Amino acid sequence: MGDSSSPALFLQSSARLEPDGGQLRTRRFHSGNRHGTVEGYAESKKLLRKFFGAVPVPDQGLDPGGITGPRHGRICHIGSWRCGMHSVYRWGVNNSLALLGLLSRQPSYGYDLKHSYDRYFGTGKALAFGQVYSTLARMVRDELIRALGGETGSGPDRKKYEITSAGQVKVHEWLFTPDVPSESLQSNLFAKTVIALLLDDDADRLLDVQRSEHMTRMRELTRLKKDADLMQVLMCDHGLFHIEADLRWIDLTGARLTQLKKELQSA
Amino acid sequence: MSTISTTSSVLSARGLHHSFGQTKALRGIDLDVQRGEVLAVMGPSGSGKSTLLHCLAGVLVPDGGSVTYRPAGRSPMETSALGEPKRARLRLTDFGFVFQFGQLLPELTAADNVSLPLLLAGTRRPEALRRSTELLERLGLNGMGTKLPGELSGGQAQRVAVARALVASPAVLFADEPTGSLDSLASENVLTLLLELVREAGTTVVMITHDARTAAYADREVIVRDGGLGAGYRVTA
Repeated sequence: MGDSSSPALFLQSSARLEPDGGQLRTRRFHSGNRHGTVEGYAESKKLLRKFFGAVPVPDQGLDPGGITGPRHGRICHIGSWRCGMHSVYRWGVNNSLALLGLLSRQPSYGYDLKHSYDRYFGTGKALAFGQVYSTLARMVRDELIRALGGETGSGPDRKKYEITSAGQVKVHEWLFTPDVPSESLQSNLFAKTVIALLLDDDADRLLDVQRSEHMTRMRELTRLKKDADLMQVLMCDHGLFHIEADLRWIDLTGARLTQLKKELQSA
Repeated sequence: MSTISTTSSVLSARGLHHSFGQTKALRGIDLDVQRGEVLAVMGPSGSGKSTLLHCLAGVLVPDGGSVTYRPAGRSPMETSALGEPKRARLRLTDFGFVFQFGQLLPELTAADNVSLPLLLAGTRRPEALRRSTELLERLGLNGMGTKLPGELSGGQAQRVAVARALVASPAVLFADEPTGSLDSLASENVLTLLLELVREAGTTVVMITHDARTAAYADREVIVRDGGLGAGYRVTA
């Protein structure tokens, strides 16, 4: 997996690191289209702990480990901090719970659920049928939903599902458990900025490149709002406000790079 | 890196320098504004954004460098070399302006405020009022023409200011924080209407903003830092 001594490469890697009593274990994972393993980056980990107090953990896609798992999208974690720099806020919807929530309205076929999801949340990021069916299978396994025999739906799936009481409790918990605020405080971009300064690289350019990417995404979302219905407009606004917060951080950090570099050098 | 050609630019600045006393506001800016584009000018406070806009609009004459305006169907002119009367005339006939706080005349009704550029350019009053009322209606201000600025909400007043800036069909609209004093929803309404009108008319827009959501309505943005343009922007020849 490339140069294991490079913190920068480490940060860009698609590996999951797990603290394990000072040891680093290798774990195969799936995140979007990225697969990978890592053999251990003790130096990098030490460095990251020094500056960030944690190591980054990429997300695992559509909840492979159960319904309480991470959210969809190419989203990274640094320690317990979740950030959306890769995704530039393409809806951090918990797909599994959103599907369960949709199912709690009335029994549905997988095919219909997928289309309901896409209608409400899938702007620019529709769910794959495979994801829906594998999620439904996991929810059946976890007894959050049950299959209702062999009625024919409007698509290829012939199973109709209904939510169980345990599933309803899960949806209720999800709805009323607030998301962690300020989760992007320690972001991948923050890590990149620090690493660039440590490597004496052009952190200003890095921030400019990211600013440009953010602005491009903001223009896309702004265009999407035109002629969209109110629900889509509100989703776009959610993304826009979050990206804007990142941009403010980028501007402020850009103005403090010299000071930050001095502090890093003396740390 | 966006590389901009001068061939289709309506405004070109080359080597712009300007100082206020010992303070250098512009330090050699090169910038081309394409015909019909909406350009956002961003940057920290005191970076030189407003000075740049004032030089482009012929409000200020830069200490050094040049600004060339290329009107459709007329010969290009170096506005930075024109005297104040000619620049004033150009601002009246070819340019429109929107400011952060509207700057409406409080003694005049909304319709009269909008009519001002037309009246100053010699349009007869009935015709000026007809066009003003029509534009106010396009901006969702039906029946508001007789109101005084003090009787309007912030969003309504800013829409009147937009109407005043656009009523004379300017080739270039200069906007300095056009929604800076409005809340999110009012700001969005004003911007949506403004952009709809300028896209329809093919008006070029140079818009200063601190707000990234406002800048996202533009086709592209440039960042002004310490009197220069930030990385990622370069002009050709």
